[in-house]
This record gives sequence, C-alpha cells and structure tokens, in this order.
Amino acid sequence: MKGFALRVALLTLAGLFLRTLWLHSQPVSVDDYMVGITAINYMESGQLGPTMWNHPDLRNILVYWAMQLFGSGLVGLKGWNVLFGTLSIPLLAAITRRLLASERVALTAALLWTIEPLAIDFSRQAINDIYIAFFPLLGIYLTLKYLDQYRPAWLVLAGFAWGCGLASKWSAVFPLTVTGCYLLWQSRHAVVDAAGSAVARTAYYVATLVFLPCTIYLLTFLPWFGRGYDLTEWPALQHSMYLETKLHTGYHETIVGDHLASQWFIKPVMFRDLYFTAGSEEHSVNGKMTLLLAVADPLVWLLVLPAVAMLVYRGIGRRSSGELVTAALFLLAYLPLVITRRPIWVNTALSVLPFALMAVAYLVWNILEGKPAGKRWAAAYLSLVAVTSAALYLPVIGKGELLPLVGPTLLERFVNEPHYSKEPYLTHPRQERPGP
Amino acid sequence: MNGSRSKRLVAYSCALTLLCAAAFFGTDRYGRSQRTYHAFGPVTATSIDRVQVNTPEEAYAHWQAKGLHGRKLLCFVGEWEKIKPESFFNVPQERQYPLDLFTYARALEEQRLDRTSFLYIATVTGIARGLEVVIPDRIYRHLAEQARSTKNASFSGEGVKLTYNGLPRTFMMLNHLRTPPEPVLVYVEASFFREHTPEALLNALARVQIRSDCLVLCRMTNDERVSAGERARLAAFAKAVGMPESIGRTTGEQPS
Repeated sequence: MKGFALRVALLTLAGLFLRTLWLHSQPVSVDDYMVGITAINYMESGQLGPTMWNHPDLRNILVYWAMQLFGSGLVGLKGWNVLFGTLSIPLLAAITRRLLASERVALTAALLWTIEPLAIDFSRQAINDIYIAFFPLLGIYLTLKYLDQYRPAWLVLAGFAWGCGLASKWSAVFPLTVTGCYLLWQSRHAVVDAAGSAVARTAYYVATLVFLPCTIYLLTFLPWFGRGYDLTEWPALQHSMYLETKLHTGYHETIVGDHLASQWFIKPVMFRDLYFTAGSEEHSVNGKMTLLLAVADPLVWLLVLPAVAMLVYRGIGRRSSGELVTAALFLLAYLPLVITRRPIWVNTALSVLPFALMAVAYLVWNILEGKPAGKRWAAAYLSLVAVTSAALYLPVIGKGELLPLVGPTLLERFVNEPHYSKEPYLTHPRQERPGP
Repeated sequence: MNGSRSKRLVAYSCALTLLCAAAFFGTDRYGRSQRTYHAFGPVTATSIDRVQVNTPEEAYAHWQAKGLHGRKLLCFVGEWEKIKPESFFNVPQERQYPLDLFTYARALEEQRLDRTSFLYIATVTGIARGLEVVIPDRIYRHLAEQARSTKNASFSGEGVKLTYNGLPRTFMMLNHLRTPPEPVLVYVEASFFREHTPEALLNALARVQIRSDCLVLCRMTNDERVSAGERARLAAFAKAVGMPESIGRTTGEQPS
C-alpha cells in the first residue's frame, strides 16, 4: 500500500513536471486569450461567449476567480488546467486499483496517463477539455469511496464533482450514468444496518447523483440569470446550446484536423493548434509561429479496442463487475461520439481516454502476468511507450523544432495549413482593469 | 424502513432535495429581481417614459441613462442589417503574460456603438435580455427564407425565432404581434413607416394591449436611406400617441 502510494506520488510529480515544463514560455494561443475574455464577459455581463458559448460555464467561473486572485498571468489563466491535469493521475490510479483489483494495472494506467500527449497538451491550455477527464474521474472515485464505507458524505461530494463535470461539458452524463448503475448494482446486497434500506438508499442516490449535480449545473448559470432571465427561459437556452453542440463545425472557420471519433483507435490521429504571436519567424509573415502537436501514441491507442474486448470477455467470464464497469465506462463515453454525425475532434477524446488507458493497462498485465519473463516484456513495452512519448513530448509543448531529424522541417510542413486568423478589424481595446 | 440508518438517509435525501428545490426557486427569483422596471402602461399613457431621439445611438444612451436592465425589447424597424460581432475586435498578436484583457461589453459600448450594432450591444450590456423585432413583410419573408438553412431557427405563428449565441430573438411581421407577458421596452424607427402607416402600428399596439415603461421613437437622422416622408409618418405616430418631444414622467403602477 505504501509502495503504491509512493509510486503514484512519483507519477503525479512527473505529471506535474511534464505539464509545467517551459509552460511560461509557451506562447499564448488565440483560444487561451479568448478564454480570459470570455470569463470576464460571462462573470461581469452574464453573456455567453464570445468564444465557445455553447459549452456550460464552469470554466468561465473558475478562470475568472483565478484571475481575480492571481491576475491574468499563467496561474490565473491555466492554473486550474495544470491542477486538474495533474490530479487526474492519482485519481486514475485509485479508480483502476479499485475496479480492476491490481496495483500493477493501476500504476500502468497512471503511467500511460502521465505521459499521454493529449492529456499533457490540454493540461497546458486554458480551454476546458481536461475538465472532462478530471471531474468524471473525481466523481467515480468519490462514488467508489462511498461504496467502500457507505458513508453518505462521500456521495454528496461525488454529487458536487458530477455537477462540476456536467457544468464543464455534457459528456459527463455518460460516465455518471454508468457510475449510477454500478452503484445500484453493487449496493443491492448491502447490509441494511450499514448502508440503509434499499428504498432509503435509492432515494439518497437520486438526491445526490441526480438532483445535486443538476443543481450545481444550474448554479453555474447564475451570472446568466443575473441578466434578468427566469427559470422558464432557461430550457430555451439549453436547447440553443444543444443545437450548436449537435451541429458544431467550428466557431469562425471550419476546424481542420482529425475529426472522426470512429478512427481514433484504428489509425494514428493527432490534434494540432497552429497560431501566431508577435515576433519574427522565418516560416511566416504572420509573426512567430507556434505549433502544438499532440500525436496519439500508436503503441497505446491501437491497443484500446482489443483491450476493451478483453475486458468484456474476462468480465463476463469471471462475472467481474470491475472489468465490466470499466468497459461500460469506455463504451458509453466513446460510442455516442462515434455515432455523432457532426465532426468530433481529437481533443474530445479526453472524455474517453482515462477508461481506454485503464483497459490497455489491463490488457498488458493480463497477457503478460504469469508468463515466463512476463514482467520483462511488460517493462520492455512500457519503456518503448515511454521513449515514444518522450519523442512526442516536444511537439506537444510547442518545441517540435528541437526534435532531431524531423524537427527542422516540422514547422514548414504545417505553415501553409489553414489556421485560426482574422483580418484586423479594430485593434483590441486598452482598458484599465482592477488587478488581483 | 429498517433502522436509524435508513431514517437518516431519508432525512438527508429530503434535506438535499429541499435544498436543490430552494436553489432552483432562488435562482428564478434572483433572475426576475434583476429586471429594472419603471412605471408602465399603454404607449398612449402620458405617465410612461416616452421620448423621441435622432439616432439609434441616442436611443441606446437613453436606455442606459434610465438604468434599464434585463428587459424584453420590442423593436419596429424597417431594415435588419446583419452584423458580425465575432469580428468586432481583433485578437492581438502581442499576447504576453499578464494578458492585456478587456471587458467585452464596455469595449463594445465605447468603440463599436453605431446604428447597426446598438441592439446587439444593448443585449451584451444587459439592457435587453431578448429581442422581438417587427420588420416589414417583404424583409421578414426574405429573412425567414434565409433562416430555413440555419441550425438555430424555429418557426411558429409568432414569427421566426432565431437565437444568437443563446440570445432569444424573434422576428415577425406586424400581424404576428402578440401580447407580451410582461411590460416591454418599445423602440420604433422612422424606417418602419416605409411600409406601414402610423394607424396600422397604433392599431396593432392597441390590439395586443402592449404595456411599456419606455417608448423611444427614432428619427434616424444619421441614415440617408430614411426619407423625409418616413420621418413625417413617425412624427404623425408620435402625435397620435400624444407624445411630447421630451422625456416623459415616470410614474404609475409597478409590475407584479
């Protein structure tokens, strides 16, 4: 137990390091900048937007509070993302250990998440994609804590976490559904003296995992209600947000890049941000070019579907709810994205990846454990993944040009691709804003 | 129920449910409390705030000066010019920590207020929480045709609802006009009388019993497309509702 905690702590520290290395010198993207503007606009005017208006507004609230405390520097803008991206490592380890009953599998899943390019990328950006990994993991962890001890307080905390998840992106509803079903299933034979009667428990589950998250979600719209809206007008707003989310193809220009969720675990995919900031750069007249390139590690991603198949197979064979619920968490998070008809970009995979990595870690140790030299094969595989991730790390943090061989020509390959830019209309306003 | 554990769980459930219900109720009350109303009545009532202005910008300034907030704005306009708020401000290339951020609403008000943007800005700064726009039949049909290909339009007997970033907007013809559930801000532009008579507007307002606490008539002296005849008809409308040239008194009943 102590060894496990220590290893998780070391992985968490490594994750923090990877998520903050040279972060202060990573040029601020257009999205980062607009997150700050949108947070101010939402909290001071109650208006959604100007960017990503169709997503729920927890990010606006958290970023605004952080900027009030720390100013509009790195901590104010990206502090939450670094925190959530880092804390999701021990959460994933704890959940994996609890559900898949193996410290090795748990540590492997946590390691894969620590070095996962997409998780690193979005822990270093201000937009809220990392929230959709963190809050569901937190909600699952707290629900599992409740199941361990049947202490009601854990489920209240879980309700808060799920509410924050829903208030980040609606995709949190899928793991919430699976977790709710798992909770009902696991507690069906609970001792009444310890856990309460079935009726009382069910009432409590509904209050904590349905009413409470919905209320948290509602409360994140308080600034919007401050514009004079009442509750009867709120469903129309949700409907507008739903329509935009359902049919979204980009806010200004159609987003480019990999956008078919069905291909994520079948062929190598990537997410890239290309933007320009003031300064000279040989590749472009637009200024200094920055390329954040998150390439999915094929050694991990291409194992996901077989791994989930194994989880289902073994889960059914062993009648193991841990394996089955892990598979269900993955499938219910992933399949809605696969069947969605509008483009789904790879950043959305952060809502799926924690469960995918749990499955891969399970696959690795289920194949190799007990085999002759199994540990060595596992170590060799993980070393290979680590080496690949090291190579993929520099492009993720915008230092791809430092890579040997491909580095010098990397930026040139992307410079003519479509990117987010707007013709100057008016220079942005200069305003005196109160400091922290 | 089995034992104290069950009773406690039920008590927690009830308490939590009540808290959630209170949050919903409180949120609703909070939203309603943010609306600013003054004395209201029919547009012919001398007790309500009524004013004629020269430009849309002056209309905006009047709403600001009256401290209006969170209101439904009923507009009668002769044109609907599409604007692109997303390109109002350029994202600066110089983006160094600490970021040089700005308050969007204030920036719009200070730098982007003009005859095409004033309604949008009124929504961003919180004066209006929804727009109901009555436009000439010809323009309505054109707009409705265009709206059919957008994702955020819905059609009903009250016109076409076309949201913008979640903001409720309804476009309609004069015969679509229905009684609003609450007192509204009424704004009438001279251009509206390009295709309507003062009597038609007056009859429509009387038919649906519009209640308002602020009627603003705009001569649109900064718009070369508006003719002297249209301004004359606006003046005739003002006369028909018994309007003085200056801002009216603000007394009368308060909305429940």
